[in-house]
Amino acid sequence: MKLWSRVRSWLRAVTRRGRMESEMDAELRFHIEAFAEDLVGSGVPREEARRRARIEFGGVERAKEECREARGVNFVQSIFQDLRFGLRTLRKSPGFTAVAVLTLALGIGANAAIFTVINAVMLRALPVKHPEELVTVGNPAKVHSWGTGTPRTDVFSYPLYREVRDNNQVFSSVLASSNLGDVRIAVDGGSETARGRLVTENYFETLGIEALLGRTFTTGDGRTPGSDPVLVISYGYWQRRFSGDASVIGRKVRLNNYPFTIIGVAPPRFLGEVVGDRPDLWVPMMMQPQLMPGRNFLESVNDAALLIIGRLKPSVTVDQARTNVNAVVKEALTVTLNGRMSSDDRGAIGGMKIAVEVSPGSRGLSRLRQQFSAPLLLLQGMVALVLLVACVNVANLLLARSEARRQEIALRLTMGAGPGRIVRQLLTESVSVAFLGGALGLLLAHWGLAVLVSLANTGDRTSSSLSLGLDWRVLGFSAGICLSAAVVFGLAPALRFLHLKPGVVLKEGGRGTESGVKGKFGRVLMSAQIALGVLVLMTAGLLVRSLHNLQEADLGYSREQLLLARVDLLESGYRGAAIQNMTRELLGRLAAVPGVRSVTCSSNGLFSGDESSDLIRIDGAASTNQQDDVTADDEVGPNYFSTIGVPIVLGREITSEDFARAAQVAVVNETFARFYFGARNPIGHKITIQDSEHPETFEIVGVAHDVHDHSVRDAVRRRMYAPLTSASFDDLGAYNFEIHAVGNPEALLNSVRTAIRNVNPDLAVDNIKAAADLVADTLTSQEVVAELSAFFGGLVLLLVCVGLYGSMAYKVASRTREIGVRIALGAPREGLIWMVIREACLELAIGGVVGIGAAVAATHLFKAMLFGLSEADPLSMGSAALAVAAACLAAAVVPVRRAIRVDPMVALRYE
Amino acid sequence: MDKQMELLQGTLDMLILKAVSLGPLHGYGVLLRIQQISKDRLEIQQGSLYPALYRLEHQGWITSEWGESENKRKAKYYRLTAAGKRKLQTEAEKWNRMADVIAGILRSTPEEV
Repeated sequence: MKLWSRVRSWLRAVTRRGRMESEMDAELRFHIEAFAEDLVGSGVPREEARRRARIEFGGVERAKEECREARGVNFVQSIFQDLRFGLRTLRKSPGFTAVAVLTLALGIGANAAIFTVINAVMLRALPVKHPEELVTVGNPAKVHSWGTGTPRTDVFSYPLYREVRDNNQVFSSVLASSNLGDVRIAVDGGSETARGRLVTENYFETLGIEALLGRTFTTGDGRTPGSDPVLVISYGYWQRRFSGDASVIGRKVRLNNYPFTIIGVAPPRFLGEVVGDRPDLWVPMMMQPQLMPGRNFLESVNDAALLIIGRLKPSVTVDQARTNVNAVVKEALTVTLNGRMSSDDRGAIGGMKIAVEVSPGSRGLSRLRQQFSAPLLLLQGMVALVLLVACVNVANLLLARSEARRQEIALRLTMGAGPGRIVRQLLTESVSVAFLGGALGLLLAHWGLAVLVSLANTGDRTSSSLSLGLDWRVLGFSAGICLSAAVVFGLAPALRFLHLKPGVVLKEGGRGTESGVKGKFGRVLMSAQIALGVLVLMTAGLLVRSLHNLQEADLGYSREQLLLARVDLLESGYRGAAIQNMTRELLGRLAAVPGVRSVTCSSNGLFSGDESSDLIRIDGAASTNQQDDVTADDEVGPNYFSTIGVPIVLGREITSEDFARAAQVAVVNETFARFYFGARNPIGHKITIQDSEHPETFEIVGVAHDVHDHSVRDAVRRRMYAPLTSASFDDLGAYNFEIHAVGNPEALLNSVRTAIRNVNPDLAVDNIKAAADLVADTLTSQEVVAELSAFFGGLVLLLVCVGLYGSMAYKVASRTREIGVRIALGAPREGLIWMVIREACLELAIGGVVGIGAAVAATHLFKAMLFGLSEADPLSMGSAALAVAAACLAAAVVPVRRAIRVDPMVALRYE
Repeated sequence: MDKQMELLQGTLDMLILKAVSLGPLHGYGVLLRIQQISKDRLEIQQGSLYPALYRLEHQGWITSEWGESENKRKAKYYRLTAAGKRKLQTEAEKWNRMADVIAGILRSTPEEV
């Protein structure tokens, strides 16, 4: 209560300033007049009484000031005063202000831009109801990491989801969703593609998302398979495709050639539960068989593609949820669903502990998060260094300026300003500069983000699907770095005035001597700046060189002349033997296209993202460790290796004759041969695919050179290649055709498309792309990071150059008189040049060594991003040092020239 | 008239609280009341009275409102709050204890030490 009364009186005093002032006036006037009255009453003449009353009272203004002080008005008042004064001083030196603000804007802008992306990808909660109650079940990030987790529990099959949904005790509701990829949508006849997502009917309800227009799915929709052909479209798609037309509700469209009705539009803020995947439309899970004819995942225990998010019941913890979900999954896999599982899954369950990941899910799921977290943190580290260099620059500027302001400050100290007050005033100035820089920086960040997104946009469309808005976190972050920057660059120069002796300074007159502190501190700043510059540039160099190595890496075949086309025969309505016949026909037609040297096909393709592996036995023997029995595999068409250009190092490849007589033959890669046979000859040995529904045995007829078929960076896996027609592989019904062009594969794009269409115009062609592009797509994140780090490296170089120029120019200016005397006495010009750059050389040496040391130490933080070079890569190290040295030289040229051109007469007269 | 004594540091606040505890007063009235009770033996800097009043009001010991003075003029009257009353009590006790201790020390004779 006491505190409250104080706050109230302070607020009243501050907000009703005028009223308080006039009341104070009236009160004091009353006092003096009443006193005078009394004096008159005791016989003093009126005039004399007034005079005496005023004298007895003492200083009216001082009393008022003390009254204001008592109310805490002055504190606020003086801050405004400082601010006004600060802004006025800044306006008086526009050159300094412009350089300082721009420098900081670059630093702060870079930080705000990177942080905005980090916020969107890594930090922000989904814009749904109570995101903190959500948990993710499973871990889709693990799916391609081969052999981790229990089978089918990183992503779920629909039957397993149903078990979890119906038998758990911890979720108030639990949703499942799956990527539908590009679906063909026909609105008014024409066909186009849109990104779709299959979701359970409780999807919107669980997330707490209500339709902007129409309705979302309800639990009434999608009770039985195929029963509700409805869809909800995203706000973005509604705007883009339907121009925000409200009559879209009830509109009939065809999805993958099946009739659907649009029932609702999602609100603008909702971009789905997978950050970075921004679907255009949502379709009930129960419509899956209609959208993917020929594949029914709803009853298949062996097809797992669902992501699961549950909403916790009140007061249930994540740990409790984990225990419960694991118990439910264990029961389902070992009892309820066990009979329907494939034998390899069943075998794996027997040998492994069931462990389903259950984690807090407020931020949703994200592929981008996994892919970009490390690069983003690295970039944030780099821009933090950029900001630091910017701060050092501004500190240097302030330091130089503070020399010029010694007179002013000394005067203010003699007039009675306390040292604390002076420091506060100077800090207010720094903070104003920082916030001006921050405001400009946010503008730069806004502009820079567009560039950043377009950079990251080379491959797929994911990066443009983030919502990169300003929110309180970005603003708070920016304000935070503004303040800390202001303290970093403002405090040291300000504190130097604490020890100022006004008498001495004022006696100096305008001369201003170079003080030792400025000299030493300034030199430390210069070294620090050089070290930071080298650190950032070397990091950038390592990343750029790694990217180059990745791009130029030998994949084991020539990607330059390959074109890949993926055709989904199952979706096009083909079944059984018709698939084989159509494949053969396509191979023949494509081979006949002019400009095609040869053509083959395979199940997984190259850099397609499709991968498969199986449990095998060599010559009937199992190894002791089940992991050792797993091999990656692929089914390939005739002459696969010669078409792609992979050398066969031993034996022969799989040919058309093998297909003609349905030979059970296989080719293995070198890693496979080494792993299972060591120095022995693998030809003639038998591989049995052990746990499939139809176990089959293959005879090894050849060993192929190791190739990077899905990742440039990862080590080559052991792999076996079997003929495409083998019954032992699940027939996916979608094949990749590898076309070896005579010349540039891009030139064949249209003729290949036409050739396929000529066979059957309704064939679902997913993708036709040059192999080089597919490879490049997998390097997108590396590319973005390398390009950005190179950009930040350039920025740092520029800042270092500007900073060094400032320091050198200041040094020469403050020594003009000395230089003049030296010239007058006949000092040689070379000696003068050396005198000016001597210190800079020392600082360059110290900074360079520290910077390289720090860079080598820091590389272990991003070792995973390097490729084909050591952390102490001499080329990156050398070029970073050279670049900074060149910047130093460039920065020194003008000041040095000014120094040797000093006219002794002018310099001496200047005194 | 006795020679005026200078006010001990920190006692003005207590005297003001005491003065207004006897009834609402305007600033000038506080001055007069203190002089009257002290029989003019205390010298009070008039200028320092108002900052003290403002401080006490800021701390919530007293409140003020505008009223009419004896000679029909507008004046600001100060009144003790409940918190101020408690404050005055504790301050007075503290002061008395302190005065006793000091007086005891000053009264002491060589035999007592």
